Amino acid sequence: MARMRFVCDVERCIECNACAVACKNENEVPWGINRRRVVTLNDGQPGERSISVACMHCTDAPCIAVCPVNCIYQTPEGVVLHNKDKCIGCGYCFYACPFGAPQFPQTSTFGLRGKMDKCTFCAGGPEPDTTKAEHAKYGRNRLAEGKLPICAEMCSTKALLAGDGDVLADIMRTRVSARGGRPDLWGWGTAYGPVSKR
Amino acid sequence: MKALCLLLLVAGLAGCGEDKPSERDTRLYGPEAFKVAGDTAPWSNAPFNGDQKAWTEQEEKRARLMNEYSRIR
Repeated sequence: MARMRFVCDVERCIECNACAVACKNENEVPWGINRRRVVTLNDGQPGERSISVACMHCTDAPCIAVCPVNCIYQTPEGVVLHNKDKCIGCGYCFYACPFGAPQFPQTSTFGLRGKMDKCTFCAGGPEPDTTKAEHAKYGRNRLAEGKLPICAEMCSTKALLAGDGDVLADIMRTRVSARGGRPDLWGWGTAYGPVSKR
Repeated sequence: MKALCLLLLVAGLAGCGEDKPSERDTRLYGPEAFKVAGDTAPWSNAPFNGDQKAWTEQEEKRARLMNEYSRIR
């Protein structure tokens, strides 16, 4: 069974933001919501690094543990999805997430947030696959079409990779041995646990 | 007054007897979680029509295409 994962090769990310734009376009994400964003550390200084961040679809996802209405669930291939019909917009998932992935569409009177929105690994939601209803709520279901998330497939430098964890590890191993350095799998320890448990 | 105290005591002790809900049981983890949530597996509809092996192979092939070293060597 494939275990779907993201990896961002920080040695390659050039902060072009194509991943964020592709995600917004493919899933028709509304204004104010960014399912994926590029974060730059040490901007303008030696050692500057950019990282493309979204939901990492954690193995033991803390958002699932804290959701009071149990609207977040995990698919057999390891993708963390949610049911917008059940979401009450409490924001607990946002506080629990180590990557700041859950997004809320509005901030209005009485702190009303609206339904949570986050990266779906281009796997839609609980609505029937590839239907208009699913697209309207969660975006395109590329996984059901046999494709991978658009952010990774659009990445020009292939800094952002998505797919089965074993395949990604193979690709990263090839890269690291070619460039002669240690792998920097940003966020993997937080999302997928220590190496011995992956 | 005595009756009221007795009533409060009974009500208080009734609270002690409440079973602690096992919240972890209701969390949607594990391979069957998506069924509980009303979702279907990505290979269950066209074009894969339930062929999990074909879907897995397609996903792996697609992921390996992201490795440009396999193209330039």
